[in-house]
Amino acid sequence: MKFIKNMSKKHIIIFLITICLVAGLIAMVVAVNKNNNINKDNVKVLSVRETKTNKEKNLSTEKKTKDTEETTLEKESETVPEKESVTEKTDDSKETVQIKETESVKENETEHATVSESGTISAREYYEQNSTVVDVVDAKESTSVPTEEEAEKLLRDRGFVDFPITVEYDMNGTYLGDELSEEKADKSGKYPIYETYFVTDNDDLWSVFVINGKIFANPATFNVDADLPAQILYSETEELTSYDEVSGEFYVTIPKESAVILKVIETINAENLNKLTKEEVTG
Amino acid sequence: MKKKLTKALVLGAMLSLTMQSVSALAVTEPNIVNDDPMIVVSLGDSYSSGEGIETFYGQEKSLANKVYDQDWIAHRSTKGWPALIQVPGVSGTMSNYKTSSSSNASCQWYFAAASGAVTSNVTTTKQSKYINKRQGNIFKHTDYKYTAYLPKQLDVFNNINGGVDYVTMTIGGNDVGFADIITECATGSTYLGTSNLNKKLNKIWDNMDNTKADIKNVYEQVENKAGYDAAIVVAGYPKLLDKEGKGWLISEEEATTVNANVVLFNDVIEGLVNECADEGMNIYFVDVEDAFDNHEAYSDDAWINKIIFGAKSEDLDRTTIASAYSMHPNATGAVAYANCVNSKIAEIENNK
Repeated sequence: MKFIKNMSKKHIIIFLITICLVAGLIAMVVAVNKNNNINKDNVKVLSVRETKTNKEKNLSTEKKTKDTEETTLEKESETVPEKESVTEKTDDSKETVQIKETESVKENETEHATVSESGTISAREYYEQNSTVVDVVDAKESTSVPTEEEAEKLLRDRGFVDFPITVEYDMNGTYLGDELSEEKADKSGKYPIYETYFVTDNDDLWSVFVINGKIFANPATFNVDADLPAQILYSETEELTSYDEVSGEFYVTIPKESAVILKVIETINAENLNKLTKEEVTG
Repeated sequence: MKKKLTKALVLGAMLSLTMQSVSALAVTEPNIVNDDPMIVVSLGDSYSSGEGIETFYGQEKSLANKVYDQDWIAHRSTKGWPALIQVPGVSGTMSNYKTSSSSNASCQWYFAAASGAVTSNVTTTKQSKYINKRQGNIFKHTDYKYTAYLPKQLDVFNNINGGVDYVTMTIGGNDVGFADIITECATGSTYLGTSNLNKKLNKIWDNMDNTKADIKNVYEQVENKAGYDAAIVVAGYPKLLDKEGKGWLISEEEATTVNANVVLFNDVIEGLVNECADEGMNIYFVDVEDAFDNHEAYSDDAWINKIIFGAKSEDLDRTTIASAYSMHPNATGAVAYANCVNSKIAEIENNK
């Protein structure tokens, strides 16, 4: 205390300033340490990324070395047939696995195809079980199959103009899955099924089919959205015509309600489909 | 004397505070300077763009403006799984760091995936998107009908300064078109003989060698553009249909067949990724099949949209047969996807 009392005012001021400066320095050191701890993650990321940059250089070199090795190997394989055959074996074994996988799909598909498309039962048996068969027509001998041009006219004249026309099979029953070109010069070819779409003013989608010259419509939106026991299909008569690509035959049938909910409309055209309400279709 | 002492104390305190402020500034500075930012690039098809999960980037704009917005045209979703990617050490998700041009930010996310993209749209050819939208009412409306073009996705790398850390993608799905096949079959009729699921699936496998070559080409070209150091994370696809099917519309056998084909396609993708990894590529496969189990379309707790006929309000083409939203993951599905990818990224970071 005596020391303080003996100090001049100037000394006191200098002493206090020094104390404050020291305090400030201490505070700075503490803050730096604290912040280092908080940013540990950031520091980690930075250091990892620094290492990565080095790695990048190494990897590039490795890659180059690898490329050189590959080139060397290729050159070797040219001169040493044994090595070539080893490489081929490896490739073959990979290929074999892939082929097997593909085959297993096809096996499944074939199994399924026999159930829901061709049926473990034949198409004839399927339609006999699910409908009254009115007629069976050999597709190739049918005089009712329209040409591409005729089918296009039929559909466009009825107002189905917005979507392209597609075909599924040729007359031999080979699957095509092709879109018919509007600009095609020769439209004299015949196909068992033609298909197009129609969207109503209410944005409901219909698919429209021409099968052996007859027109049918599927209210796709209503069928998907409604919880119905069977598919609703529209026809201009009490009959439906189906195509079986395996036998190459058209089946003219009156379906059982458990298989198809058949609705009859005088003319299937854009105007009439547009007028149909959800209640009328699903009711 | 007292006054002078007080002045001195105040001066000292101010000096002390100034020193502390200076020290605080010195500490925060490293966060601002980023010589090596985290750069993530998301490429791919509609599963990566987040098709079907609104809101899309640019959606808030007027129709007249958004038809020119590439993000909207590509249907890049603010809630798609790439937007939810997290990288350890980077706070938040990629949606916080979306970047479209050269940037100095500490983390940059470039989103170039586009709905409908096939392999060639990533590597070589621009992607055309037909837009047919109508604004107004039947008395007065404006039709926007034209074809917009998205640049090939690899062009995104031209905008990037710095080393790319991650490239994420799903690609190949549109080349095979499982979702389109399901939609087409739903518009057909088994009774009439027009629903040809198996025939359509067979066609995919007939062309699989070409598809495989195209997918591998994407990986190689991405590596060339992104650099050997970038980790390429390729996600697979989920099984699409509830195993029981959907009544008469999709039989149990049809659902099984479709799902089995998706699994096999994932195996093809995984095989290609492994092949590339064996050749020295920094590439990883992310399996999402298990994550989506029991959450397929038409299941009780579906994470994948069912078939939606007609266009939704944000669909590009109002005259489309089915909405592009059909058979795509919903918001919950995107979270599941992101979880799978984030696990892989965390694993990659841990192994560094």
